[in-house]
Amino acid sequence: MKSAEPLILVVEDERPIRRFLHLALTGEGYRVLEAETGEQALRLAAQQPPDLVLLDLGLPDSDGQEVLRRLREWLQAPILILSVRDQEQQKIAALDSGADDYLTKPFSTGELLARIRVALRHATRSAAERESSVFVCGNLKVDLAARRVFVRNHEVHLTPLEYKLLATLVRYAGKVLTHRFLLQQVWGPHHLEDTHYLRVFMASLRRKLEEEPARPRYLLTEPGVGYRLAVES
Amino acid sequence: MLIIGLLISGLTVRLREQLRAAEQLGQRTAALFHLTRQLSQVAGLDFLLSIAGKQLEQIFRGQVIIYYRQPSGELEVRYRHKDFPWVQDEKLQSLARWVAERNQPAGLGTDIVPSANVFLVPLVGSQRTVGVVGILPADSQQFADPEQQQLLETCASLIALALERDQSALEAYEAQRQIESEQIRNALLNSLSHDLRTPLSAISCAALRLLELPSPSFSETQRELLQTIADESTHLARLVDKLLEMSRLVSGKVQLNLQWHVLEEIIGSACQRLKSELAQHPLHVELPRGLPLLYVDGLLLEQVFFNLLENAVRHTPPGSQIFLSARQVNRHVEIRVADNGPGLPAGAETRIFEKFFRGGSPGQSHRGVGLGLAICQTILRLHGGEIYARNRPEGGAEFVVRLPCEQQPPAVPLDEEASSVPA
Repeated sequence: MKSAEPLILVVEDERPIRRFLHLALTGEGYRVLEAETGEQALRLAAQQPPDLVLLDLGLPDSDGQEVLRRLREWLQAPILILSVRDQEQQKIAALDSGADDYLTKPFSTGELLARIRVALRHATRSAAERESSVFVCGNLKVDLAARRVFVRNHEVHLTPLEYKLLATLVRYAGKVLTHRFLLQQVWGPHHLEDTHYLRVFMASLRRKLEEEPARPRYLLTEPGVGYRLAVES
Repeated sequence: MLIIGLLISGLTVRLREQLRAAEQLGQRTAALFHLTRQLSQVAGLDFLLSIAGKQLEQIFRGQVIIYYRQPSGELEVRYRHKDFPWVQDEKLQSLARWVAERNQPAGLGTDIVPSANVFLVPLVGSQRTVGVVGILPADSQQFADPEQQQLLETCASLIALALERDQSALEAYEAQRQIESEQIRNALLNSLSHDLRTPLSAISCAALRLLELPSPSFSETQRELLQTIADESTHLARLVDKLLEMSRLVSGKVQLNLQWHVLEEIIGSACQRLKSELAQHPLHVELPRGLPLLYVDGLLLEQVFFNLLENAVRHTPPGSQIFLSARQVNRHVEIRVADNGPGLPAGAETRIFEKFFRGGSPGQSHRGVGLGLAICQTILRLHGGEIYARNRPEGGAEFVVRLPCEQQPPAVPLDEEASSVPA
């Protein structure tokens, strides 16, 4: 049985944005549910669990963060946050409470659809894929089982911490990882504020893996929030 | 009998003196009480000084002049008895200035310029000297009496305290007003961003969405009109963004989020955001190894490079090269953004940093909003850095950003094998 097109729940109080999202998503063949308030969103999601949620953090009736937490209590589907620049703390908080990704307004249709595709693919990835130990993107290949890294089929030697950082990114490829999360994973709980460790090691990783370290193709910066490893889309 | 008589008359005299002293004391107390009560009933500098002047005239039976002293130290007459003589005003004012600066009485009845016909005392408050009171007494011998001098000084300190109390009430009110106007301003900015920004991005997104539809959907003319809608709404949205950013920066409320950053990463973020704009302008980035970490607000600095690169793209024809390089010069890091385009209009090298200055002749297609560089300059000043522009001798424009790197960057522990495993 072929399942229907993915169902997307749009939670947004701005009517013009909601309409635009509706147009963009239905144009791409997605089915769309719309909620104007947090309460409505929770009700709709409970009636008909969506495959993905687009959630604006600035809702009138309740804190978007609260809606996110309440959805995450039971909903497995990816949740994408819609936010504006200069709200990095909010984005970080949302990612820490289980959001999968965020989009900074204004965003293009292309960007929106690409993020949705990545998020949906992640959610439906088969167990085999998830267990796959080889990550490939462009000229970059990381073999987690063998702990080996290749660029253009040439092996690259990384220091243990560089490798640990890269492996963490690979495990969550395509997903934004906050500074805090990466510091916790690589340096442990005592260095959660030492963001500059991360920046320095990211710079040396880029020198080893990127053709143009100042214009990275794989190791992407999410300004003010963290990093993301690019995936081919 | 005689002795008794003498004794009694002596006692009577003493008693009468005591009585007079008591009466005087009573009068003084009453005068001070009255002054205090009157002063406590009004607010506002001029009301206070007029009450004080009238009271002093009643107590001392003379003509009063009161100078108010600005926080800057300047004296100005804020109360003057209608018959107070205007002659020698200049001299009196300079004597008053002396009184205020030395916190010491002068003029009639004192050792300092005793020839003057006015007795001057400072109004000494708890924080500063708030003014000078001068009395031209009906009886020039009046202030030869030290008790009268003392009484005036007591009155003066009461007046000074009343002025100070009034001033601090005013300051509290001002502060409250400032907070309120700041709140109004923020509310205004929020609604500006909300009510303008959101519909604008909805318009441009909708137009772009229509343009993405397969080509037979619209005629060529319709397509052009759609393109105009998309371009103009994008342009307006950008204007609103820059206005908001600028007003946020100049409000003085921007809290720099200073962290240790790698320059390469900040530049990389700017390039990433400008990816589509840069498509037709080859960008060459050259950053030497070993640049120090910079203690900056990463998002703001990214905005600087974003604006500079965006300008370079907008003001040069497609195919022009853009060069971005950096180097450390003593205790600064210098970052250059150069192009091989037409360069800056002659003489505009500093004016381009002014708000709403727009380079290029009117009617040119690459319109900006004239805020990008002003924003850059503000951000760099917040960081103790600077930015300047010039034309390159080989042609094209060049912007130089200078950032201080005086602080010692924190150590980053390398891992054990860092040196043993070659890259």
